[in-house]
Parts: sequence; C-alpha cells; structure tokens
Amino acid sequence: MLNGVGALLRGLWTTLKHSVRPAITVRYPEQKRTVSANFRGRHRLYRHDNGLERCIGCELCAGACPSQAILVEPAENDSEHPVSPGERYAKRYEINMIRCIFCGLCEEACPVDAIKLGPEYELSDYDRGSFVYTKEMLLDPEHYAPRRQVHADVDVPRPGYTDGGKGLSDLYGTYRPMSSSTPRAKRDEA
Amino acid sequence: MAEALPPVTVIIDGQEVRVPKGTLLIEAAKKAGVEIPVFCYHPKMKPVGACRMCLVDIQKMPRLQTACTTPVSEGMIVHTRNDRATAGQKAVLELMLANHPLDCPICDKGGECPLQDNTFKFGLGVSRFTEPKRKLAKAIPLSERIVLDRERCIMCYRCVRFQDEIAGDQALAAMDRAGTSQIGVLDGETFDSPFSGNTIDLCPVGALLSRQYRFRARPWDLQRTPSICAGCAVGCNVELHARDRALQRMVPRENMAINNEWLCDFGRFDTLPLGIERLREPAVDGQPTSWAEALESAAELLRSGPTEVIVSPSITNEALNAATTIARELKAGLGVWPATTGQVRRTIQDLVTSKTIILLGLDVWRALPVLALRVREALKAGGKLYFVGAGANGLWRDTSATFATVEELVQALTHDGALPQPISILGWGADALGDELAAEGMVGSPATAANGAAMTGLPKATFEAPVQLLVGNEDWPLRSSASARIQLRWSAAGDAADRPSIVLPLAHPYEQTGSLINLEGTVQQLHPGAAAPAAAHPDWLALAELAEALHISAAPDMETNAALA
Repeated sequence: MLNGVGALLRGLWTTLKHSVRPAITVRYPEQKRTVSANFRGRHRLYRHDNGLERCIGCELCAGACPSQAILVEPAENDSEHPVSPGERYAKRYEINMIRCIFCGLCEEACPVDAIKLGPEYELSDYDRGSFVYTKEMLLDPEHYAPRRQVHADVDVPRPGYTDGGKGLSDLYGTYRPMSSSTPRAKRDEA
Repeated sequence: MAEALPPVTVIIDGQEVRVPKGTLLIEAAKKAGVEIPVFCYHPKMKPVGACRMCLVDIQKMPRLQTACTTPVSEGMIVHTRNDRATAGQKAVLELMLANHPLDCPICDKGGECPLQDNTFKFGLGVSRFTEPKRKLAKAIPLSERIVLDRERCIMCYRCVRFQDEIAGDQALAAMDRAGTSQIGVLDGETFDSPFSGNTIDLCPVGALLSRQYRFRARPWDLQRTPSICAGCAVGCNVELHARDRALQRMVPRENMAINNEWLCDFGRFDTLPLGIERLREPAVDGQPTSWAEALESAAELLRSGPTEVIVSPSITNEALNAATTIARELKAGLGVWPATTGQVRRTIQDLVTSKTIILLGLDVWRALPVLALRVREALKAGGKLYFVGAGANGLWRDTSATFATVEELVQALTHDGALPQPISILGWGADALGDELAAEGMVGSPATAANGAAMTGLPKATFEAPVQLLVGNEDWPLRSSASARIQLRWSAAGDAADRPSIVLPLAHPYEQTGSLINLEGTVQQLHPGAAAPAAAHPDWLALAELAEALHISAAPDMETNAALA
C-alpha cells in the first residue's frame, strides 16, 4: 500500500519537475532550429572567386551517387570563354531531389570541392518536375529557392525567405565550408 | 610455330603450368591464371619491354626480369607477388606517376584506364615526389579524329608499334630521347592513317583520345551492345556504346575469323549517325504526314505505273527479302545501286594463311581496310603480295611486285615454277586467274558494301521506270523529271522535298536488328545499340508495312530463304 503511494508521488514529482524546465520543443515552422555545420541539406555548386565554375564535369559525383540522382553531361571548354578552369566543364548538371538520399557521397567524391550539401532542408514542392534541380538552380540557391512552403494550420507568410532574398542568404551567410583562401583553392587558381 | 616446340613446365606463384618452349612468361602466367600488370605488352604485337611494369622475380636470376620479353624454360620458378617483385612493380609505377598528371577527372580515359587500374591494384598508394611535374602541351589535335596529350604519355610505344607492325604505314614515331622523348607525327604532317582509331583503344593512358567521343560520357554511363559494323563488306565485329540510348562511340570486338581485333577509322567514326541530320517523319511531296497516310500514298503510286525497286547494297537481308517480294508481286524491275556485288570462294581465314596474294586492281587498303590488315598478317607469316593494274594500291609498302597486266604477272611469276600455295586472288577477273593457278586461298571479287554479298546476282538498277522505290541510305543519282520516287532512308539528305516524292524514315543499322552477309558469306546479326527517332522504322519493318499497304504477303518464302542461306 505504502509502496504504491511512493510510486505515485515519484511519478508526480517527475511531471512537476519537467513542467518547470524550459521547453525544448520548437514551434516549427514559425521557429526553426539552427542546423549543424555538418548538416546535409540542399546541394549547392560553388564558383571560384574569378567567377568560373568549380565543377569540371568529371561525373565522379554521378558515379558515386548510390541513388543515381545526378546527371552530368560534360563538354569541352571554349578556350576564349571558359566556363570552368581546364578543358572540361559540365554542360548539364542536374540533381533529382526526389531520388537524392542526402548521403553526401557526391561531396566526398568531388575532386575540386565544387559541390557541397548546404543547410537548407525545406525542399517540398508541388510537382515532380520541379524536383529536378538544374545547374543554374544549384549555382544560385538564393535566387532559386523552392516555392513558399504552405502548412495547412500555420499558413503565415514568412517575408524574406521565399522571395529569393534575405532569409536564405542569412541562412547561408555563415555557411562557407569552402573558404576561398585555403591553400587548395589558391593552387587550383594557379 | 611455337606449338611445334616441346612443352616445358614452369612454376608461377606455385602454379605448375605446361606451355610450349619459347612461350613468353607473361602468356604462361595468363595460362596459370596469374595476373602480371602490363602497359606496353600487347598480345598482337611484338614485345619491347619498354614500360618495365611486368617485372617478376625468377629464381636463379640476379635481378628482376620483364615477363613480357622473357621466354620460359624448363623448370623455371617465377614469383610475381613476392617482396622483390612487388617492390619493383611499385617502384615502376611510382616513377611513371612522377610525371603523369593526375588530371583523371578531366581525362576521357578515366574509368577505363590501365594506369588507374594498375595503380590501384599494384601501386604504392601514395607518391613520395614533391617536385613539380613536367609541363607539356595538352590536347594537341594530331588529326581530325585523334587528339594527343603529351603530359599523359608513358612512352609504351603501343601506338607507334601498331602503326609500324599492324598497319605498316609508320604514321606515328617516337621523337627525341630519354626524358624528353615524345610521340608525334613528322613536322607538317597529320596522323592520317586509316587505322588511327585503334591507337585510342591501345593507349593504356589518356594520351591518344578520340575527338568525336571527347567528353561525351564516362565508361559507367555506357550501355554496350555487341553488333556488326555497317561500313563495308568485311563485317567487323563491334560493340556499340550508347548513353541514354544515344550512340556515342563504337569499339571493335575480337573475332579472329573476321577482323582480328581491329577496326578502320571509316567504320569507327564515319558510320555512326552523329552530326548527321536525321529524317524524322514521313513526308509526301515535302508535307509531313503519318506513316499510315504515307504508306497509302506510296501504295497508290506503286500501283499507278511501271515500277522499279532499287535497293542499296547495305540494307539487311530481311529488308532485301521484303523488297524482292514487293518487286515480284508488282511485276516491277529489281535492281541494286551502287553496284558492289561479288562472290568469293573460301574465307578470310584462308586469306590470312595464304603464301601468295594477288590483288587484281583492288585497293583493299581503301575499299576494305581491315581486310588489308589481314593481308598483312599473311605477309608477316611469309606470304608475298603482288598487285596488278595502274590504280592506287594502299599496300604499296608491302607489295613485292606490281604488274600492268595479268599476263605479265603470270609470265613473270610462274617462270621459275609454280607459285607457293595457298594462293589468294582478289579483284575483277579473279576467278579465271584462280582456275589458271589452281588457287587454294580466297578467290573472287569481294563485295564492298555492308550487305553486298547478299546482292549477288541482282542486276544494276536502270532508274528508267517512272515510279521508283528506293530502299536504303544512298546518294541516289538525280532522277529524270518524269519519275516519281518513294525513298526509304535514315538521313535527311537527298532530293526529298521539292518534287513529287514520298520519303519514309528508317532506323540506322545501329538502331535495329537484322542480318548482314559479309564478303566471305558469314551471316551476322545486327543488334540495336541505340534508340531510333520516334517515327523511324527498321528497314525490314518499313518494307513489310509497305507490302501490307499493297496487300502483298511479305512473309519470307522458302525460295528467298534458300537463296540467302
């Protein structure tokens, strides 16, 4: 009998204890948690400081991809107007975001640090076709953000996020895994 | 020859293997199932020991030996994977990579590169060189077809040896000495051998690459379909490489009875439907229409007046059968254009083993290039080549004597007794001379077009009938203004649009099934290696549909089958 009362009190004590602690739930989507620096979200293609694309169209990302989500069609650079350093560039670069499992093997395989998985994770859209991200979209993620996410119960406008502007650049602001001042980058430029 | 020598027993990595005396150690190792890494060694060419990759440890020998140049002897004990041998192999690879640029990501050979494979399998894994690598010109166009990257070259001489030993035109050479040695062509020349494409396959690194295939795909993107080259009557065995059902390149498949493992540049590069505008939809008088309507109009036109059915000598046997049926039922003339027919006795294998080869005005080097390489095989085995006529002879380097007429040849050569048998005679009038000399080799006037041998006996087309049914992708001669034409072709060229005519789009031979008969009479199967344009039909299907529109049964009849067999 007394044992039962003790257990009851212990249980109540646990409840009471947690009710006064700060909440760890986040009111998503109004609130968003900051993601870790290693977070593997939407892909992004990088450029050199001189504007040339880092991607050389080698197709190693496509070869490494376990879900065959990447399509690369290479072509030869016009030496007068090169797209990337060297002889080869990606004429077509597409990632199928439905197929992608965000494992990051493309990033591992890339010999020139052209592709990185970024922090952005809200990638839903309305039709299958719009999940195929082209090279332009991947090179300029701030301009080509996915369409505004609509949630049935909290359909509040989030200014700055969806109109291709500030919100996303804030998100990417500190996320620069490929600092252009690393020795590797300098060597590539040379 | 090696077979005649007594067998010896060697022990390679503990595996006992019996091979004829004089066999190269590397071949003995292959037989024992032991892999020895190589770059310069190629089973079709003489060994040179240039790359040193195949170093092995042979007991009782003070230093490592190259397996590709060492003949086996009785009781030889060989270690390919002991510490001494692997240290040697690793050192060779490390030195090779000291100057080899690691630009694999932009190199077309990446993924099918023996240097990559051997480095992974036998290499050190890391480089101890910190010195800057050699800088040389990259992507030098050697010809319209081939591009050379000198930084990548490891000086294995495979390409130089191919052009010297197999093609015999010495189109490539090694220039300069030691560390500055380079592959190249003579100043002011281009690499214009009809067999230059084979050096791309032979190159163990990405130094010699195809300009046509440059940066189009990776080996893992390609769907590979075994098929037959539709370039000429040799019928070389090939593999079609397509990416996303679009043809990218073609490489040879080994078939010792036909093409050995070579392919000519015309077949390799020019028979692919790349950069050629395709006929995409049926058209009546230049107006695009549906197949049903175009067939209806074609049937009407074919029934309207005297008709001639004209076939190209490169259409498949199945299409030829349907065309023959249509011509017979319509009581129309049946002709072939351009004329190419010819029959030979015996096979390419008999040509390769011939001791005497006589070419009667036939320039095999240009007309049937891979056959010229087979002729050279016979010459290397001790045969002699004679040429009759004043025309061009691409095999002039290997020709023992040239005669103006057959009589001169017979007089000069049979003067000291009979010519050594087997004798092969190719060209116009070969049969008569063959009988005269009792030739035992390949005799006859070989067909030159892809399926030419199947057309033997068909008359030459006259182009005189007012209605002409043209089957196949040829540059048909201009017609008289009185005639109406129905064309079945795959390229958009030709006089399709302006005058009364019907065009029906065909699939390219590399996009359809069908069979072709090569010059020696071997029936070989085409397999579709790529997707045809949506509205294009295989040649045999298009003709069968046309027969149906004409209410003719195009089912193969026994007579035609017997003729084709």
